[in-house]
Amino acid sequence: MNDPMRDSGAFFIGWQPRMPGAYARPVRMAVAAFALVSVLVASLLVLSQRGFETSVFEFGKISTNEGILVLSPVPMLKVVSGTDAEGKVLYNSLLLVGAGKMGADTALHQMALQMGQPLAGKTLKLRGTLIYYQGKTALELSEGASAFAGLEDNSRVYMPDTEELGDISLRGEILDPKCALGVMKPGHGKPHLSCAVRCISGGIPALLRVAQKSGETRYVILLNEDRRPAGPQVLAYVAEQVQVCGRLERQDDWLLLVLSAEDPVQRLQPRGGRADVAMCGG
Amino acid sequence: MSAHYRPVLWNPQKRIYDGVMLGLMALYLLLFAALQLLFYPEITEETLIIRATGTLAYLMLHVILVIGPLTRLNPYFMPLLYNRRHLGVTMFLISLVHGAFNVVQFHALGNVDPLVSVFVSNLHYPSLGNFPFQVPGFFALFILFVMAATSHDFWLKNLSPRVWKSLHMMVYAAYALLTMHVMLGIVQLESAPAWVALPGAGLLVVIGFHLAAAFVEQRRTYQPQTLDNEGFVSVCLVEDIQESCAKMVLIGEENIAIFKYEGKVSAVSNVCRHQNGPLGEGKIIDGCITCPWHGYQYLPHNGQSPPPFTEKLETYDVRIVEGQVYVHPRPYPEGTERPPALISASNSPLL
Repeated sequence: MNDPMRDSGAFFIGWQPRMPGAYARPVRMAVAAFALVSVLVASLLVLSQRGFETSVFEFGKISTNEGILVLSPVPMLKVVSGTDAEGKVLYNSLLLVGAGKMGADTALHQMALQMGQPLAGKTLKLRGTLIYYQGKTALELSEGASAFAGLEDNSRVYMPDTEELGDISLRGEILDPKCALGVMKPGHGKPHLSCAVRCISGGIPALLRVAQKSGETRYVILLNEDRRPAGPQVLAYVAEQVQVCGRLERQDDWLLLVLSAEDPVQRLQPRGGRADVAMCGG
Repeated sequence: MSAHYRPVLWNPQKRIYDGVMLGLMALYLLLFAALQLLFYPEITEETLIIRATGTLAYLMLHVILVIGPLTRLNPYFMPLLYNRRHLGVTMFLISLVHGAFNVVQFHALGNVDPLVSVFVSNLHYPSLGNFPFQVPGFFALFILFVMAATSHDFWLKNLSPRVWKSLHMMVYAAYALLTMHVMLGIVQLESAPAWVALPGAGLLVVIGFHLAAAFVEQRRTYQPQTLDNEGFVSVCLVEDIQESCAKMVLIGEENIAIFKYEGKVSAVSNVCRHQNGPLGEGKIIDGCITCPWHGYQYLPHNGQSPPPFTEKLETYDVRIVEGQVYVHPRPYPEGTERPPALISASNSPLL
């Protein structure tokens, strides 16, 4: 089998200063092909992505927020947002989370120790980084216990506006609110699974994201029977499409789901698809 | 060649190679970033870096894997092979950026060590759909690290070419792990046809080029079946071998290159001592057999690299009878001088 390269007399040796002229054209063609493939691959991959949430994490911007500190069932800062027609106080509840992949409990406990008094139910100011998306807001206590910016007038008594919504089964994805509301994009799905597990393991409350047929998205805080964050119970189902059964409540502007005692979470197959809301046993 | 070592031996062709490589990488990264910011301005910087470096590294690995068979199919692409190790090391560095950003982004600042988190955060090991895709990515990165760390000729010499080559064949394991990493990871979220089809097309291209090269290689190498009573094997006519070139022959386990030069014929091992390159696809230049892969050189009559270099090849007895070339498949120890067969008038075929 004759070799055209040998017939031409050209022979490439890498350590020589220049390559024989006969090699230039094929090599240029190969480089042009690689350039074309690079352009095509980059364009196809970017343009066919699902896209990203318009959620916001105000990274690097510390704001001071005044509200009533609530520790149960999950830490929140209840910021007065106005009153309704009957004069009842309305709250914008900031879900409190810690720095990194940790809950806010440690920082809040240290604040109480530094102040020498319990802070639950007190009106205070907290510094932190806001995270918000689709009407829900979280506040990262980025500075740890130093996020405490002072006690305010404590004459206001927090009266939660609660509503029992009955037993229900919800379909959606379990995730952590910190990433889902803006720190990560995407903050859901398989690639984010490990991160969500770390966040929930670190004490950040688990959320169920329910995408309704109407196109509206609901976020529901998952609690166990003792009305504590249900992280350990749902950790094995994070970032999967699941059906969750329990008793639904509304507390101010958040929905809470107290999980059923038996088999509260069931996997749905396959991955993906839209979620529906149905009544348990209905 | 291996008389002594320097961190990097630069020459004009390597500089051009690296310049083109970096230029193409810059083209990909800039285009990827520009399109992301234009069409998806809400993307975070971390996600942009993770996706740009991950897709670039995977694309580069395809190029690395295709270059080898491409040069076997058409030697005019040989300049792409010469400096491939720089391509490999650069690909590892891009992968390292991707891996480091992922570990920090998804595993750091939690309640366990980030590297432990890679293995224990997702425990769905028995599940295909939920398999922890970071784990194959981690092991692929480890393989790429070992290959990058041992890419220099210092390691080639000290590990021996056989061990070194075996180590670097692990690139195929890394490719398999990275394909798992991609298909069980990002493709589970980005399910658009392009995200599924591109890795699939890449796999087909890599397999297709390797099969084509293997087919051509098999046709190029003569595999005789019969030996005469002295153990010599008839290979070809003298005129079948081009001047300063070789006929490659595989007899049992012996891979032999039979060179014709200056009225003589000599036989040496077809396997270059540097990276197992096919010497028989090389040429005799300045009296030396010159490997087509990296230009390592050997004297045809004794298989020794010219001083001060020290590489040596096995040599074989060769004879010519009435224009027919015969070789004995028993190798002599590396560097053993064997007299070339002379192409005299009496040995030429009757005209």
